[in-house]
Amino acid sequence: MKFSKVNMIGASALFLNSTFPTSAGAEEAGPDVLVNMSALAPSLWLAVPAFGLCMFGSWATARRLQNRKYRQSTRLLQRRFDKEIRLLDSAIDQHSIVSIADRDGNFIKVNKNFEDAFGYSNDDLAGQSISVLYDMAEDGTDMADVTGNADPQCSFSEVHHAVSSGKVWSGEQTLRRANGELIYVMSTVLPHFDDDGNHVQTVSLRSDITQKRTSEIQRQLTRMLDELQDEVFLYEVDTLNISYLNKSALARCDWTVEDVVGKTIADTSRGFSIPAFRQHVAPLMDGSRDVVSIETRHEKGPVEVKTRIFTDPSGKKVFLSVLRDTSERKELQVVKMDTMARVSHELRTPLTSIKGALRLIQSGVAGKLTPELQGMIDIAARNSDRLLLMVDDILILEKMNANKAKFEMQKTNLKAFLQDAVSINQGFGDELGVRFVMDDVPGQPMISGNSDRLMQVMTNLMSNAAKYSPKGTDVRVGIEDKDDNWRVYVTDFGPGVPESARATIFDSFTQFAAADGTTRSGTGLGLQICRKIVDLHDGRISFRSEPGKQTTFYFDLPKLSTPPDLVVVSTANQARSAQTGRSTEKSDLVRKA
Amino acid sequence: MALKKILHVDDDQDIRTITQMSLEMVGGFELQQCASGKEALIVAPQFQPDLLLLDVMMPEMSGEELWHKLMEMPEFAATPAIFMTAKVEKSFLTHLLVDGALAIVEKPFDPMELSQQITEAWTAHRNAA
Repeated sequence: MKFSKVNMIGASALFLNSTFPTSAGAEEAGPDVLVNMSALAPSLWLAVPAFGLCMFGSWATARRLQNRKYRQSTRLLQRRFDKEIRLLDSAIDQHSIVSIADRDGNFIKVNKNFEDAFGYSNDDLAGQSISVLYDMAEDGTDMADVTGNADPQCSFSEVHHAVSSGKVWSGEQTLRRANGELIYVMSTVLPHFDDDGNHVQTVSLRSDITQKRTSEIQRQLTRMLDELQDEVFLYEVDTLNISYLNKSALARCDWTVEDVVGKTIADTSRGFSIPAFRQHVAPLMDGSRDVVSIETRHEKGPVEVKTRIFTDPSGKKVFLSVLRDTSERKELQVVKMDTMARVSHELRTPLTSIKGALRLIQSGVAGKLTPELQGMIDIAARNSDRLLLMVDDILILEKMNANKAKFEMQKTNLKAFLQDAVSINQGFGDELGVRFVMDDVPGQPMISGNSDRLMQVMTNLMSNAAKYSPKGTDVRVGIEDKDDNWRVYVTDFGPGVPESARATIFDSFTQFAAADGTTRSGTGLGLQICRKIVDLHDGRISFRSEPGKQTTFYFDLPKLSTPPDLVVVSTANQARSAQTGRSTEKSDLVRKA
Repeated sequence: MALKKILHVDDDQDIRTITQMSLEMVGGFELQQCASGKEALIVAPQFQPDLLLLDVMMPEMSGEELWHKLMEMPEFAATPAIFMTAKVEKSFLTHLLVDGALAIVEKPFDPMELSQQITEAWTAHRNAA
């Protein structure tokens, strides 16, 4: 039995040798071990038979003596082995993460390294299945099997199967710590069998290779990031010191990797404003947004930058900005706009014939119509009008989206402008039985604007208001003093904007059934055009609606502080289009000035 | 002098038809129509129009090119022109006005109003002269 431990080196003894019951047949293993150990103590081994031959007295005495000597030398040997084993145990215990489990894979004991590496204590684990270290789905299947992204050799059932069938399993594993983090380990798992060949215990030796693996992953990631066309900037949240730029980011700055040292993100662009940047990332800092993005200009062209915060492996908070060159996209936008303009233009030509033909038929110059025919011609005429409006709206919108529409801004008196708006749109209001009423205007509200475009906004808002008003009601328009802005408002007393439509009301092709459930005719582009126009005036458009009571659409325009007598009011042109209704674009003749 | 003879040039057959109905039936003008600038250069000397009504965008020869070619002929040097276009960019239109065009009619136009619009432009031009 004394030598059984020797037999078990590397299998199960190690740091826990005292906990193992020695098997009954262990002594038979003794001679083997002695033979094996002869290399360790050859002189001692030779001395034993020499001693016996030299004796000439009683055989029994000799035998006794020999036995005593034998026992003595064996004890010596054993002490020596014990010492060596303890040393080995201690070395392994010091170096490795060790755990011992029973044949079913339930923990018996783990060492200190294990506790440190996995964050479990011996008490936590006693009796638990070793599978807690593995990624297990809720139904108990290995995540490795399910996801297929881990080495299949690593799965709990694979290892368990290998060990149960008497094989030593060795390989890399991705396991989980108590806190859920991944830990990469190099493992050797050895089964221990009793003399009847029963699998009694399993010993696992592991070393933590997480650091090595993560630095490898990091190297790989860096390599991948370097190959990205998008530019990647990593810099510290507090100091804005750059910690990493990928290749394309370096190229933008004309830097080498060495140049980055000591640079901050503000060095990447001449026009970089730290206060503006801090304001831009404020939603990241207070956690209200996960990512912020901005379209801006760099010395080298238009760019889009998306920025987020993340914690680097060392626990430091860093900004990650991904910058994309948008010059190509901008060019595409121009091409798209040109295409749209061309398409719209191509649509206008056939529409000219359709509308012209219908108009002539309607007028009766081509012959008298029956009432039925008249009715159908009216439908066709109405819808060709609608088609034309849509073509025009798309054209205008595309122009504004491409920022091609450069407005000529003039000093404009909003009071006169509003009076014009009322007279221009009253015809449309009359058709719907709605009266436009202008509230008293405070003083001489002056702004800088393009009155043609602003008239388009007014016409849109006023025709919407009229369309949603019950017959016989008023639509009120007016101007309010709002500190730095003049607010122009259009109020109707119709059904109002339902809650569900409020978020998207200024988007393209949004048409909604009003709070009374009825949808009105229109292109669905009107309010988006309004917003674009107001935006280009540095203004803001919005609305408030109390369903069933009143709805106000309004826009705020920055005040212009100019004496009123210097103001040129240029609205003569719009008055002429009063009879044409909705669009100020519809004046058919542009006169020579 | 009242406006009588109009030379209309447009490559689109349907628009020529609408315009013809509009100017002859509604306006009572004497109208000659051509499908291209090339044709117009042949027809114009025989027809001797008082006014040119030209489509801007035409293949081969644009309305503007045609106008300049006609103005090079002494007999048409002072013949006023009105342009028709489906192009809505005002910046594109203004230079025609600067060059002396009477007016620009946007397509789609209202055939019931076209004659009236042309007459107004003509009258304003005569009064200014």
